[in-house]
Amino acid sequence: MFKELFKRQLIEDIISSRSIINFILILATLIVFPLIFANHYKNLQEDYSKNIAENNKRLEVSSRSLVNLLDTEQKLVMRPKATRYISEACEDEIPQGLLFKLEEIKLLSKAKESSSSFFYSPDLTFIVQFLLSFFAIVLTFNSLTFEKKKGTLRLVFSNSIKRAYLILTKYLSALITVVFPLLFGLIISLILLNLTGVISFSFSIFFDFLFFFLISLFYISFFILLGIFCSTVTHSSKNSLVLCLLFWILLVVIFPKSAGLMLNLKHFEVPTEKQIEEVAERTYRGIWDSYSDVPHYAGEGWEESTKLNVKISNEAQEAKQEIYDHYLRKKINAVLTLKRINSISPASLFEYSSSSIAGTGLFHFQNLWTQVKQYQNEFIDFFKREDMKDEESYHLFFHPDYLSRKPMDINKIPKFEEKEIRKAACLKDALQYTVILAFYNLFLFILVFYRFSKYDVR
Amino acid sequence: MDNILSFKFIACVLVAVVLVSISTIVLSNDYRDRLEDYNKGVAVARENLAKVPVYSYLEVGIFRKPSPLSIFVSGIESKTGNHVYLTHREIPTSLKGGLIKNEFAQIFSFFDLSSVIVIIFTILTILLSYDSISGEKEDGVLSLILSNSLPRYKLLLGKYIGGLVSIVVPLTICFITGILILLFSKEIEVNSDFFLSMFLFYLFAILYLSSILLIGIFVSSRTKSSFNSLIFLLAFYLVAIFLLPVSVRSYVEITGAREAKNYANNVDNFKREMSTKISNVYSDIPVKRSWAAMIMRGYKFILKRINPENTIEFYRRYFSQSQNIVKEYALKIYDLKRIDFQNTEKIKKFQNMFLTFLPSFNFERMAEFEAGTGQDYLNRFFQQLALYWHQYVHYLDEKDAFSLKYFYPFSKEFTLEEQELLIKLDTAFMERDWENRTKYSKEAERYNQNIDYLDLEDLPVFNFYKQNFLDKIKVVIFNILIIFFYNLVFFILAYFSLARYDPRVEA
Repeated sequence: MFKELFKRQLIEDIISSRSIINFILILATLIVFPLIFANHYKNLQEDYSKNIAENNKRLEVSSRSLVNLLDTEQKLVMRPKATRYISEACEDEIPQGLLFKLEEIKLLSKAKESSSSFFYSPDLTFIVQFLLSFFAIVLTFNSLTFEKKKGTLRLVFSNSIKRAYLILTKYLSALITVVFPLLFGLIISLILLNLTGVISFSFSIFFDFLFFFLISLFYISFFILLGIFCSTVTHSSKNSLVLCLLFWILLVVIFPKSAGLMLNLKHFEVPTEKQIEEVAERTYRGIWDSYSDVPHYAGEGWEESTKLNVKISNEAQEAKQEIYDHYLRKKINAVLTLKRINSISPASLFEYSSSSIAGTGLFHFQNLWTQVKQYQNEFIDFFKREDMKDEESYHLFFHPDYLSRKPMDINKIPKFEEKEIRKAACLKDALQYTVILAFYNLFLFILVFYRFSKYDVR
Repeated sequence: MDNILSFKFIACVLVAVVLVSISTIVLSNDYRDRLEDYNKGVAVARENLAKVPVYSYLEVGIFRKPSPLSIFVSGIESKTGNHVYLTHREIPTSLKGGLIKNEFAQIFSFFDLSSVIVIIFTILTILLSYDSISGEKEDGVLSLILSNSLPRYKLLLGKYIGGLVSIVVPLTICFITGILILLFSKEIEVNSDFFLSMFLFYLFAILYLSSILLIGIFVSSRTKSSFNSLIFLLAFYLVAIFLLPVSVRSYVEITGAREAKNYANNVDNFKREMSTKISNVYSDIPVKRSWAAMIMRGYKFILKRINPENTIEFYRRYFSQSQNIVKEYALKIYDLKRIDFQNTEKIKKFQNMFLTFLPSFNFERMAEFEAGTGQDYLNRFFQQLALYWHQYVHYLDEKDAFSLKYFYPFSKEFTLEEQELLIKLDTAFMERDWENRTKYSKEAERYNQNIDYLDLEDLPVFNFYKQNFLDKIKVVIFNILIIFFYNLVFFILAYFSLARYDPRVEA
């Protein structure tokens, strides 16, 4: 009986006008989006390789003398990823990377100019977040009210079928109807992306797509349950639909952006980049000023005073770096907290977890930051090692006048190369959001079950 | 009446009003901050202008005043920076500054009134209109109504006007809420221009929603069941509000970026060319300098008081020649950017053509234009800035700015004391007497008294020519016409399909 019911429901769902419209829409988008993305990706890669060439050129110029490496500035930007197709996560809107000097890591202020005031980008997340959730609702909002109106619901129950089975069949068949075009589209876009040369098939790509698909399942299932739920609490299809649409607009369109409201709170407030610069500069000067009574250059004992000088300089530099780090951390933490607050909306949960799986957006930036810090240590080690080899140098780190001036081999200088984020880290980050999403599903499922068991079929 | 009391109506209106009030509060706070930033910036710029010792230090701060309408139509105003410091070295094409505090929070950009209209009012309109004809048919009321001797066009008109009124009422509530909140927060001043713009914005919104309403009625009169009509309209909503704008805009942006490589590809060559020319000038000048030329700082080059005459003569020649080269290259580089701009503009035209089919795009464009927060406004700003640059450079030429006054702020002859110090310094340098050299150099550093500041009273002022009412309308007249056209076409279509409509309910 269960099988029979399920089969019927599935066929009914799949050949309905709404699912055909949906299928065409999804298919069209999943053909157009990879083509747009392929172009976009090419642009990004060109920019990125240009940036790397620029960095290498700077290092090469400085390699004439070791001490020049102190002031060599490199722009270490996020490497464009093919997984941005899964989730852009506003990667063009957030800062592109960090400005690196041997002693200083600063936020690279936004380089890209975006001219659109539109915040949705053509990626898979958008398709699932907007189109499929919408479709899930449209498919299920009248699942019970319609049958009740037609009178078939009573008929169904007159057979000895459990209510749970009915709900389950409705749920499963709707899920399959919604997910099928997604699966189909995913395969098509994978092939298209491969043909346009954006990706080559590899384990990691399949992994990303697979996990994205799983998260999508959770997300879509939430909206299917929501549709059924609305259908159980109302008695006419119209009211049910209005309720559903209202929920949809609130959860998908409004809530994911609403955390921005709280940015104005004192707790999240950060100064602008210019003000941070000023604070850092003030701190730097402050430390120098606090030592003003110490003679920097004395005729005799210059060595001591120089050492003191170097010590102050390092201290001031450290304090300055601490300021930069502090505000950068504060900015990132503010957004992370807001993301957590935003977890009331399944749409934001889905958005965040898919961006974690794809390793894009803020998550990407955080990883870049850690890697740049490692690179800095590596670079400093290299610098000290090379300086120690030079006997003419005074080894006073990092005073430009008392360090080695030997020419360097460009190949020996460590260069920054962004490593892939480990899959485990991606999963771990995604999991914190997915778990909540799964919990929502469960909660709604129980709710639907409860409501339906009390549903008046007449 | 039927419409206004329904659940869907009340729910949607509630959401809309809450959103509008929250967004108005948030965005008006933001506006106030930006206005403050603007005022501060202008004050600083004016202060700086009063204390310019030499022309190489001259930078004209030009600020873009935030528009109070940006509270309702944010556009791109808050994201594009708010000022530029104009010099003869560059013709600006992008703004600096702005008040973005947390760059990472861009994912949470919040709604303004215009997006509430596009997202929520559109769906409200759809919900009001999808069953206007087919619903009555399903209930069997339609055949009853028509059995009275009511002409069908009157029925249509009645439906239309009833629908329109029930949309205009909440729309008006939203507008009034927004404006009231604005008026109650005292720090924001509004003038009659603002109210005129708001009124126009309001009219645009009505025009837009009316076109959606007519599309809804039309679809409803074409389909047999209101369910089908709804599915169709919702699909239309998704495609028109989210899907098409997202894909077309990103397509345009991406191809636009590909086309605009002219500047990126050539600018390095141009700059290299320029620096070679300048260094040639530097080495070709036959005048010898002495050590004291070292007392200058930064790219802005200001020579301190204590400099021998031959050094001054050297730099006079150097700057008069090199700065003309710099000026020339500023124009050349601007041309590069302009070619890029024209290329992207071509693609943008394609976007506009394509998206013009969407009523919502027309509405957004009209609103952004009216508010002065869109790309069009920015383009015009830069066009006028380029014109002003020519004026400014002409002024510099007239003042003979690339000459002695470019780097040397003193008019008086050297005093006896100073000449003595000069000789002492020269000898210290010649004899490699380090101790004295440091001592005298420090002394020379202190010779910076009695600077005559430049008189910049007659410096031309940048006045951004704001378009008046008619000019504004001229630009968006096309979009307005399109929406009118939609209204008309769908009204006629709805009329025809209603005329042929079979009011009987199928058994």
